[in-house]
Amino acid sequence: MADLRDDDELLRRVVNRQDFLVWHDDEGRWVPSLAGIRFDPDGMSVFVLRILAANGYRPADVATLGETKPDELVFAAPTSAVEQLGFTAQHTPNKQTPIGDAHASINSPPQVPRAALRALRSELATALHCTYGTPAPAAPPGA
Amino acid sequence: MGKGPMTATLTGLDEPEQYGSSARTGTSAFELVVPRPTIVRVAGGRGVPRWLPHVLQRLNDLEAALHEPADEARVLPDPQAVWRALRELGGILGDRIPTPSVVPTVDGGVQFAWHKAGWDVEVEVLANETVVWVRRRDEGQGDAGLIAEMRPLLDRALRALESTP
Repeated sequence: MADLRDDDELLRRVVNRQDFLVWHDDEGRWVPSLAGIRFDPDGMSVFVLRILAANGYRPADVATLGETKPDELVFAAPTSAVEQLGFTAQHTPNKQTPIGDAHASINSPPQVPRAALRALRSELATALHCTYGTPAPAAPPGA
Repeated sequence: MGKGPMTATLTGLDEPEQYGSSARTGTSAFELVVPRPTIVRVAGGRGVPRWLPHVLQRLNDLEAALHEPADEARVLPDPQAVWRALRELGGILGDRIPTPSVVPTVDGGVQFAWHKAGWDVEVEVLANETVVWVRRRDEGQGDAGLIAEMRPLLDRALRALESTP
């Protein structure tokens, strides 16, 4: 396992469908919905760009999880932005996909009330920026 | 002309129970899905709000997804949440509100969301309750809770959204 640096970009694969995207009208871009950044008991899966690159992979490979899944979107945020919100990020390599060596996990701060945790996750979603792919939906009319 | 939230009168709306019926023919089974037509009327206000067609289409999309083949990439709302969202949106969204994004949540809810005019607002309608997150971006961390306790801050945010072009 490697230590993550503050400027390490953490890449998250998000399904390119309207159900997983929320329009940010002030910034003219899409951000993931909470369903797009789902947390399971092991945290939220992301990939470390620096480690991907060292292994010859690109952000596009996160979109397909190393060609094992359909092509989707890739959103990114630096480790510093994630940790500033109170989340922790750890390098957690695995062998589940060809790019598993770059796998990392973002975990929620412990013992935070449910409502506050929800607020933090919503803030995390807005901190993510699309770094690969073209979002399929159009902005809601009249947004 | 009313200035308050729009009211929506729903006719032909029943609580969702069994959808259609099942029959077997030969070696295949199929299910007849008979949508229950729902008529939404706008009473008061200044005519049809600009957000209504999109929101109704999205609610319809989410409800229809419940009857589609399973898809591991899909997040499905609780049907009660979809129907509750339809009933409650008139009391939440004023007629001048910009069109929200409408998405399902992992807790089975339907969420209306805006990032506009310096505000971040999420209203999540679940099967039995409604949860709100509101943040004024230049004021730092937002706040989240049940809609009853969040109503003053939510109303402040929605008024700000209403005043945008």
